[in-house]
Formats: sequence, C-alpha cells, structure tokens
Amino acid sequence: MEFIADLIVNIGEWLQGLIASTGLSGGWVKLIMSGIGGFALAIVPFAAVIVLIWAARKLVARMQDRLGPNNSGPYPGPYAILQTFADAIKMLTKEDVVPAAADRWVFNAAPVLILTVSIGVWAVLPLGKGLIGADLNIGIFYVLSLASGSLVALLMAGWGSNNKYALVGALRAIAQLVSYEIPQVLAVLTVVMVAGTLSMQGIIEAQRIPFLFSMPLTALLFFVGSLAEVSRQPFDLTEADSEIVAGYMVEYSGMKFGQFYLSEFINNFSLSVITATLFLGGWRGPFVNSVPVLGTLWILIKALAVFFVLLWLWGTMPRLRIDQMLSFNWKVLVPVSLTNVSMLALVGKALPPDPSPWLRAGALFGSNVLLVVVVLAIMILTGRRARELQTTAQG
Amino acid sequence: MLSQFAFVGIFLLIALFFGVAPLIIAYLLRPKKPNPRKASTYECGLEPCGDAWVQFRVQYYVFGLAFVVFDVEAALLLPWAVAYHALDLYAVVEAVLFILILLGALVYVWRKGALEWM
Repeated sequence: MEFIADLIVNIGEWLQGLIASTGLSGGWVKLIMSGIGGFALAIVPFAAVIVLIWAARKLVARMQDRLGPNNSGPYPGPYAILQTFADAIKMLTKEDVVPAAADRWVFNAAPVLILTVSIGVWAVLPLGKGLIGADLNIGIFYVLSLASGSLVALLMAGWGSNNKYALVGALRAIAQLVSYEIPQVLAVLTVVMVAGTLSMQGIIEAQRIPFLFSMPLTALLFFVGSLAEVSRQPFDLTEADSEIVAGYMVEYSGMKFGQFYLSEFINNFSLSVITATLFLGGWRGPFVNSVPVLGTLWILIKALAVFFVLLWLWGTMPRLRIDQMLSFNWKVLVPVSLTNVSMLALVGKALPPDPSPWLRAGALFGSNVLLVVVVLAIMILTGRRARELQTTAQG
Repeated sequence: MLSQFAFVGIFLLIALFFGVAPLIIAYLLRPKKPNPRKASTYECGLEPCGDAWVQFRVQYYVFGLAFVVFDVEAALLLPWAVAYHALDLYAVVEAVLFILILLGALVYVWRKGALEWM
C-alpha cells in the first residue's frame, strides 16, 4: 500500500537501488538515473499530446457543430482514437521538399530548435509532490527564458525559407510574441513577489489559497499573455492560413511541419501545466499528504481544465487584426500589468507584519477588484467619447 | 543545486535527441524525387516574382525597442520580487517609482503616436 501511495518516486528509488547493486560508483548511478528519468520525463509531453490532439479535434468539432474524427469513413480505430498515429505515419513518409532558394542549415535547424525548446521546459514542471525533473531555484525564470528560444526558431524559419509569406508571418509572430511577453512576465513577477521564490515547488507551497482567488486579474493577464505566446485563437494571426498561408510554416512539408505542429500542442499543454502551477495550486488537493501520488492526478485535472478553456477559445473566437492585437497589448495590458505590480507591492507592505493568509489574500483580491473596476470605467468612458466623436464627424 | 542544473543539461540533450529523431526516422522512410519545379519558392502557385526579402514596416522595430525596455525592467525586478518579503517599505517604494518612470516612458511613446498602426 505504501508503495502505491508514492508510486512514481518509489519506482525511481527501486531503480536506483537496482543500478547501485551492480557495483557502479555513486556518480555513474546518478548519471544513469538522470538519463532514465529525463527520458521518461521527455516522453510525457509526447504521450499527452498524442491524446490531446485527438481530444482537441473532437471537442472543437463538437463546439462548431461538426462530428470531427469519428467511427465512419477512413478514420482508424474506435472513435478515431488512432487518427493521430495515422497522421504521424503520414508525415514521416512524406517527401521532404527544401526550396532551392532557402538557407538549408537555418531552414532545417528551426523545427529541431522549436521542438527541443518546447520539450526542454518540462525539466522544471512539477508533476506531483516531490515529483519534478529538477527543482531549480530559478524554475519559472528558466521557463520564461526558454520561451524566447522558440522566438529565435520562428525567426530562423521565416528568414531561412526565403519566401515572402514566411517572412511576413515570422515578423508578425515576432511582434506578437515580443509584445505579449511583457504582460506575461509582469504577471509572473507579481506571483514571484507574493510567493517570495522563483522555484516552481516553492510557488505551489506558497499557495494555501490558490493565487487565482487572491489575484484574479493577475491570472487573467498571465493567461491572455500566454495565449498569445502559444499563438492560440484569438491570437493565431501568426499562422493565419487564410491571409498569409500559415506564415513561417509555409515552406515546410512532411515531418518538419509535423515538428512545428507538435511543438505547438506541447506548448499548449505546458502552458496549461504552468498556469495550474502558478495560479491553481499545482498538485495541492485533498489527501495529498497521505497519498502523494494523488498530487499528479490533481495537477492533471487542473491542467486539463485550463486546456479545455484553450479549446473553448479555439472553438469560439475569431482572429484579431494585427493593429488590434498590438494596440490591445500596448494600450491595455502593459499599463494595467505595470499598475497591478506596483499596486500589489504597496498593498503587501501596507499590511501589518506577518498577516494571516486570509487577510493577505483578501487585501490582494480587494486591490485587484478595484483595479478591474477602474480599468473598465476608463475603457467605457474612452469608448463612449470615441463613438461621440465619430457621430459628430459624420453629422 | 549543482546536480539539479546537471539534470537540466542532460534533459536538454535528451530534448535535442527528441527534436532530431523524427527527422532521422523521416529521412529513412521518405521517398526522394526532387525536381526544379518542386524546389521553387511557393507563391500560391504562381512563378515567384522578385526578391523574397520584401520591405516591411519599420514599426516592428519600434515595438522591438519598446519591448527591450520593459523586458530588461522585468529581468531587473525579478530579484527584487524574490526578496520582497525581506525588504522594508523604502525599497518597495523605490521599485514602484522605477516602474512609474517606465510607465511614463510608455505614455511618451503613446503620445508620440508610435503605437498607432499606420
């Protein structure tokens, strides 16, 4: 029973004992264990994504009143569950066309880099109590810095393809990712400020009350920022198949396109896990202290809930124009998140020393709600004035 | 902590392997029948016209510049945020003033009209 209660950690320890019993020195045992653990950890996003692509296609189809992959027609497996495998086989056996004008090295390195970066994030994602690849003391900073790596990959793809659509798409993507990184980073800054640590496990342990409830506005800013970072609808104008024919991906075929597609879904799932970690309390939940393996279940449920919201937006939202996208960020999100950071910093210090968690959460929640009211009032007033100016100009 | 960073290094190598492996498998499986038409640059089925490196808006650079300011600010403020609970009010007010100065920079950019998409 005790073995099952902390299943994954116990399997790791058993394996370590097994390797140590062969008589290798401590350093080698550690190295082999890191290799096996890292390999198992890197499989997780792949396995999750194979199921999630199918689930996403099914759910979005239902939202748009379609059937999606189903029992009829050419789809393999019951409820077309094997469709993702069929897609993978198709991509692997497709001819690889590299345009003669493209810069071969940069063109081929871009999909490798983007997939490496999106898997690399998983080294610091907490998947349960005491279950994390490496609990770095700069965990969330590592995540943010790897996100910039995918930006480099996009620019490599766009510039290396030597194609007009790819170049325009890459520039759009850069403008979008660069802009929305600011509200995202500032929201993370707020979380770090309240939690007092950059480590992912530390942030989870600081959430006796999940940060979603104590700082709802911060959670919203982070979510909108990350939505643009992973180019999910309504911010999918980097791909925009109807305008710039998939943007930076236009020249890629076969498995190279597959790698972009895969990394997009892996990024979506990592975003769900990161949001669950930062704002929903990660693996915290009932019975975690007695049965640690339940923590993995809780974080999975929370991450899937966030993923469902992503799909919901995918199924409902139209695409933004680039000017709307940029002005929404620079004129709304950035000023609001800057005000949010300074306001929460001052409120936290205005409290009596060592406040109870409920008092702190209440104060943070109150200031967040106040800020939302002020922002909405300003937006309604400026919108009304703009409409009045328009009508006087017409009349 | 050092062994944790070593794990991250090993994990990044494994991630690189997972990034390259699909290409190697595809290289073994895929057909290879190149011809010059296939290898020409895609432009919605027409013959490619002119150089691919078209002119684009200079505004992308303006947004890039504004981004650098705020990203450096965030990188500078992260250590402050970690130490937040140990700081006294004076240090917090200083950081808030720093943020407000940058908010002033944003207002300046806004008033100059650099945020309008023309």
